[in-house]
Amino acid sequence: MTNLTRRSFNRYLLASAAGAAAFGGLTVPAFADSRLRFMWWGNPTRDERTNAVVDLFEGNNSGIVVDTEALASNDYWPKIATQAAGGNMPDVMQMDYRFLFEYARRGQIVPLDDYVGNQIDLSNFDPGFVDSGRVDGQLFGIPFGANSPSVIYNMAKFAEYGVTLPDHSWTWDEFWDFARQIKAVAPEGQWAVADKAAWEPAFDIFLRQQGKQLYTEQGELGYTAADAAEYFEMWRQAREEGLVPPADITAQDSDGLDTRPISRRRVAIDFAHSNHLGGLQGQNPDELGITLFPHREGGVPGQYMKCATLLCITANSDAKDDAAKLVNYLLTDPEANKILRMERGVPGDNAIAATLLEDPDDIERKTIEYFAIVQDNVSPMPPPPPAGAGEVEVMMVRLYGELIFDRLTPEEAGERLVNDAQAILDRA
Amino acid sequence: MADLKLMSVRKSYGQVDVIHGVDLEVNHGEFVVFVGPSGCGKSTLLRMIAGLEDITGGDIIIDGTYMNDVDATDRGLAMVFQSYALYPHMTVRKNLSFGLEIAKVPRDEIERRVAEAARILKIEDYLDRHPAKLSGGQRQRVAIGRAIVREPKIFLFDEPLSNLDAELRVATRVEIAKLHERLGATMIYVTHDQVEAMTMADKIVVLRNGIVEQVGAPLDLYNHPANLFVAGFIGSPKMNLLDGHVADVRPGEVDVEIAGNIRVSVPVAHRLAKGDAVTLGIRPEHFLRAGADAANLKLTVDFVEGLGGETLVYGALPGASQPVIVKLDGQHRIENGTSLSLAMQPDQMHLFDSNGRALQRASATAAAA
Amino acid sequence: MATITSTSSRWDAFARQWRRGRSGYMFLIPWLIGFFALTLGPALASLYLAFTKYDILTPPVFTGLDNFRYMFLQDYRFRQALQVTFTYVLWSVPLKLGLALLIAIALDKGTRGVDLYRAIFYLPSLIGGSVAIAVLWRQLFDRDGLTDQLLQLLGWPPGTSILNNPDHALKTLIVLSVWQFGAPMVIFLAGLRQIPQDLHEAARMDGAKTMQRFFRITLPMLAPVIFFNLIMQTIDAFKAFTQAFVVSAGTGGPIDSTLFYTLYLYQEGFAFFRMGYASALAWFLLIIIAAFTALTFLSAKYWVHYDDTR
Repeated sequence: MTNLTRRSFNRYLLASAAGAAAFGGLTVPAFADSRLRFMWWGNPTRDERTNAVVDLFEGNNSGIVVDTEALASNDYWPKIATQAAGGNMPDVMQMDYRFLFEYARRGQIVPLDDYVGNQIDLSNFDPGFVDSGRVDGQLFGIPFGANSPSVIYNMAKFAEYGVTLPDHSWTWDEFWDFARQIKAVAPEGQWAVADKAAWEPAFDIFLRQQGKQLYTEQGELGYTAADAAEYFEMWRQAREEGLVPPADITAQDSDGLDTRPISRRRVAIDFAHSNHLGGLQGQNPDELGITLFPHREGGVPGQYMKCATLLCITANSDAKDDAAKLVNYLLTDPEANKILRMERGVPGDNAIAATLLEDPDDIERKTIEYFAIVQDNVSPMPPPPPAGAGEVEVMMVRLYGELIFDRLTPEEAGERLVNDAQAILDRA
Repeated sequence: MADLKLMSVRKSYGQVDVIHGVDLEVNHGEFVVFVGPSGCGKSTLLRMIAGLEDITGGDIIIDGTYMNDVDATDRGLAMVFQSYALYPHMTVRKNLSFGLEIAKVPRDEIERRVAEAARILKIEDYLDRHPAKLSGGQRQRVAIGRAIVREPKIFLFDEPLSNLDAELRVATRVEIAKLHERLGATMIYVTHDQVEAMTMADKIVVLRNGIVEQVGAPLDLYNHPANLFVAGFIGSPKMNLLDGHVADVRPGEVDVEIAGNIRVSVPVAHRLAKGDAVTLGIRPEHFLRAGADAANLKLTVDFVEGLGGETLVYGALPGASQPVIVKLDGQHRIENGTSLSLAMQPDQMHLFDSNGRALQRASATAAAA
Repeated sequence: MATITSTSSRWDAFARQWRRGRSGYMFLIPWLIGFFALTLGPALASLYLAFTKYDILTPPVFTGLDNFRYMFLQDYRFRQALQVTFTYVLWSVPLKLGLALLIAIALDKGTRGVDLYRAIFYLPSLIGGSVAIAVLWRQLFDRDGLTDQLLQLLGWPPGTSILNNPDHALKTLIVLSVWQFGAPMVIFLAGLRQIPQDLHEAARMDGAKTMQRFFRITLPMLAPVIFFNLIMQTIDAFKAFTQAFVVSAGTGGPIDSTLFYTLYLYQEGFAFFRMGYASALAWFLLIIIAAFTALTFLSAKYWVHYDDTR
């Protein structure tokens, strides 16, 4: 939803006043040397913090005006795409790793290599982390923060049920055994684990633990129908045992913070990106914890860290230097990051991260502790998904729906997933 | 065909009485006309007979059966509406056959009756048209046809001619009268036009303010109006009514003084006292033009209408407040503003008491009338 | 001028005509601009796009009939969307019109407080199309929602979430649509008031009972109004979008059971950036609606009688 803030509204008023004055033939000093637009998707916390930082930025850079626009992610991409078609994209945009390659290869965003060392200071960044913003060797986006798919759990429920979370080295079998303990004591209408089988990172981790993956470097499917069937079968058994909620509850989960089973207090264990811990905690009166995905017995690490979001400068920006200044400010300014903190994930600038570590809040402390253990159990970052991957993700949710509503067996669902995914990739 | 009996039939809307206890008998095959000015309750009374309006009190009996609680759908009557109320979405044929289909009359019988009605009413040529494609007169016939095919116990007509132009109205009037003769059916007909009433009715019911003023054959009402209202309502042009008082009383005859100083002798059977206030009524056609010696009236002429076959003279008697209309046979040359000498036919005079009730004429003259 | 050629006189006539109509055209200008710039232009553009592959970011590529070939031969979601939409139209329109007529007749008979009741019954139509009501609807039919609790009182097992059951989700949307019977109701009410009382009385005199009068007089007399409502509601139903979008969070779920045609079109265009294909879908929907409307119009001569006697 468009979020026209009071600040930007005032700016519109001033700008139109200035415009009127100019038309009146008066000579007025230029109101602004450059005018930037900055768009992101997010949530109210993110919007509030980012707007505050933009205000600070303007205070430090008289002559630069930044109009901000924050949308829900569902609305963000259609709007960005429409603006791309109309040649009026914002100067600075928040980017999803998924779409980085598409926008870069179509020339909608520009390489930032020339700005690095000038307007943009990445000296405190892990070079390997920065590289996740590279497309064909050039740096098109700068990672805004790191996150990792994770298990989120309700600590109060564990206490209530009298169960103890196993060590983070747990296997899938231990994971489901723990779920059975919970199930044994959980009251009617409550289950152990959210059914997030259709959440793509969960499937990806499951595949990576056996040396496979969703997509290969070449952008082809990295798994077989049998792999998918095995995965679906694991979840089918959990559903049969009543460890995960029935189909209709799962169908309600539209992946928003408020619709997740853990937020609706249906389950004790859910899955989410680590940077959503704060958001989910905001939905829940009980204290939440975060830990690793279960491991595969005799497998390899499947968990990975990736940049949660990136910042990009678009090709149609008239003030790319100023845009680069804004990017740099958001990424590396200590004052700015005291406001932004870890809402977009753990900052890539190590100096900033260190500063935040000095006085972390609860969520940040948990996140940092969590990242410490992820580091030791991490696989390489997945290659960028091919075009059409977004649609495959949506298709998989739908397909999984047919599975849980007993329209398909796990074997059939495996076949369908591979076939339909291939069809989508072919068509993209 | 049926007879109809109304006994103390009343209708009120809340506190307002619109029909005040009507008693009436209608015999087999009679053509009865309800007539009266607008708002007199004649249409309401008809709709009460039809069953379209509830009755507040009294009884309605058709062929010896109480109909008070019988719905309109079951009374077996037929009605011709002022608006015709033809079903616009049906052809003329369907309009005619609708009621028979509802009654589940066999198909060939329906066809026979529709054909018969169409023949009688000369509407065979447009049986397959919709009402929208018909003229006003044609619609009127269809509306009547719809009643005929049902072979109802009683035909009810609610001002059926009022939407027709004058010429068609007269023609249709004649046709309905003929139809009555031919079918011999009981018909009740509502109109505000006393000419229709006079020309069509076997029996006229004059209504005013929900009260029956007089029931009788047309000429009875013309010759012997029961009161001032009927006297004024029946007949065209209207009866002249002149206020006066009894100047002298003799056996079987009184002298009435009108217009200050004109004395008229009227044969009357009632006992009246000298000085009683009365109203003298005389129809315009009952004046005679007289020589100056025989005349007892001098009319000051205001205006003259020469209609060819007759001449209407509008004027006033000196000293009288009410105007006088005189109808003379043939053609007369009379100038406006002149004085016209007139005589009244004594046996055609009506006398009304101060309550408006007619005073019976002396028997000899009554018999002569 | 000595001679006037026929062309110049025709021109004069045109100029005279123009002068006479000028102010009228002036008043029409805002509408004309809107029509050409905002309706006709984009419509023609989308007609072209229907024959292209267009992902918004790169220029459209002409692909001939590929979109339509895919649509008719391969796209099972397209078939699902058609099935959902047709089911919705064929149930919701007759039910809604039936209920609207029923309530209209009830209101037409009553004399006291009719205006109030009419307003109350119209209320759902005012608010029914809004997002808020769709959200409320979602709560109502959710697990532990009001309907769940009512059903439990009737002895159903607890936890029946009608809205999240692919077998029932569409039914709730049909009910939601039927609930918004206000607009056709008001039109029916006006239509009923147009039927002269005389006709009902004439039919009573003809011996027709209440139901016979309803079917043989009221319904046929209402035919033009029914026809109007049928066309409008059918078109509306084909275009249904908001409720399904909100109730299913834009997915058409559970498992595409509420995948309205328009929702699928939206997903293809704005979620998967296949504007070319979405345009093709849009034009096919236009053809469907046009065909339905044409069929209704063709059938009209058998059941719609316009009363022009008055």
